[in-house]
Amino acid sequence: MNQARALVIDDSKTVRVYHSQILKEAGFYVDEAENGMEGLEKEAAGGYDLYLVDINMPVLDGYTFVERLRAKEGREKVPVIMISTEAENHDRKNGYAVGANLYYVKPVRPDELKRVTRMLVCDKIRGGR
Amino acid sequence: MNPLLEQFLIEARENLAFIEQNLQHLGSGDSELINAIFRAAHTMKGGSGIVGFEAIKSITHRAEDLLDMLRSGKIAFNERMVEVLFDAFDEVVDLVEAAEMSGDVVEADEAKVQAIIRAIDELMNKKEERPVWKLPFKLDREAAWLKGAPMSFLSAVTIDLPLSSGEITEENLNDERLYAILFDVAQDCMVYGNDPIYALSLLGEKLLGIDMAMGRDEAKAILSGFDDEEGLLLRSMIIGYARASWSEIEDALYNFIDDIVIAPLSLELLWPNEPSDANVELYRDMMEVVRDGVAHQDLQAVTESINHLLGLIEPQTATAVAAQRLLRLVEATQLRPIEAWQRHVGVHAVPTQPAPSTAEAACEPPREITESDRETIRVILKQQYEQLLESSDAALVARVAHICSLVASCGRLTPPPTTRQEMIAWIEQEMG
Repeated sequence: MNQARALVIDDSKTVRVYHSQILKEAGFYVDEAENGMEGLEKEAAGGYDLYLVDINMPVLDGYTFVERLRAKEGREKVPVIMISTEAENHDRKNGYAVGANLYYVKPVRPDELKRVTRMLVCDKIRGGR
Repeated sequence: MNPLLEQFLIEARENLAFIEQNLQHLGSGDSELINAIFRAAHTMKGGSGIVGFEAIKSITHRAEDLLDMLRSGKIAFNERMVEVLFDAFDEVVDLVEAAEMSGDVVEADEAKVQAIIRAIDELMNKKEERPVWKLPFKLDREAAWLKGAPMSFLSAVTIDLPLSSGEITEENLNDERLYAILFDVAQDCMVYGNDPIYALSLLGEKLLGIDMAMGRDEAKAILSGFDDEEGLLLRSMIIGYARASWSEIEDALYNFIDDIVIAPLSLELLWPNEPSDANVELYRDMMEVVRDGVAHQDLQAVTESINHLLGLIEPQTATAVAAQRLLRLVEATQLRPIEAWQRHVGVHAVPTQPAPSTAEAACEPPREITESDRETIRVILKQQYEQLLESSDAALVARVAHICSLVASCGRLTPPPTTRQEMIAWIEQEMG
């Protein structure tokens, strides 16, 4: 059975540590990136089963990251969760429009994040790759 | 120390050092610098929220708002900003230090935090610039459409109605109230799969009943043969009764929010219109006693006054009909707070339990799917549903289909279809 791989992209180390810890407890192998550009570089090196993306980041923001990720072959459907402090409806809609599958407002409860992320990769966890 | 808090404090130190070095150049017009300071505040806001450091969250949130207005050109720079922001971040430094010393999140001096927030608010011209608050929905204070609410509905429920609904303000908007929600349903509403009855049912236990009628003007047009070249256009009026907060209504009726009209229910609102026959003076005299009796919670005085009028006039007059309705209404409400409305259903049954999916009905109940899992599935499906209603973009539909199939396989739901319309129906069914 392959371990599912996740990439956590957030410019705040506190947030990265928080989300990474939750995903590790959920059974993921986790990599981290500080902004969208670093996210694209890491993802080019192999690709992940799940992306957890912040919006407001220096160098390359989360919207642009997701847009560019979706434009890549084979990444059209990979689960992407946007997690932001922005709770406005238009932020959510922008997230969906660029290609996010889910949108959560920080902070997300650890149990909820574990359940959601596990469900989104349950085909991998069951070894169905 | 909690490692997450430790990480937050280290990061906060870095951001605070950056801010301290650069804040004095805030007025330089360097947009990249303003952006960087904004992000430093933004990062601290996010981190403090995660570790539960409320005082830092409040201060950095306000500072972030001010910096956001500055970077987007909504306000012009002035020297006072540097001073106020230095004060604000100095307080954050003190809080970080105190947390480092104690090894835990600390409480701030609330008066100090509020003074900082007020100072920032002044810079944002919060008082002047703040737009006049507007009700987020169309309010109908007269609600003529409620005058015909079926008596069977009103008398089947026990009501703790206020005499009048009072003012809805920004502060009390989210208090739970009894609302009547009017959908003036256009004939094409189902084209996009927006079913008002379904949307109302999302209110769950908060929904007390549904009542339907044909839209009055359209009914007239049809019966008179006017304004309907195509034939019989059916336009119906649906009224939902709910005891809920505005945010609950907004969540459930998201797709209809611009089309609905809302009336907070009160006894006065449900009172019959003044009849226009020869007995109207008698009716007015009676109403004076009724209003007084209602104000004093004197049920006996009210019913005596109505019965007195009914004894004086012919039973088939408009005044008698109005008085009888008033009497039944008064008796139904008992003029006193009563614990709860009972559910009453008009034309349509309100689904209380999701219909079992064929998979679940066919085999034994799944062992590993917990109630929390189901809640998570609902959250995921709800977001997919929102996306489908928002757009028919092929890539988006494919993404949604993929997520639905993952959730279905994981949550042991029926396999989802792949076209947009079918998926909308499937999610509705799975979400009950």
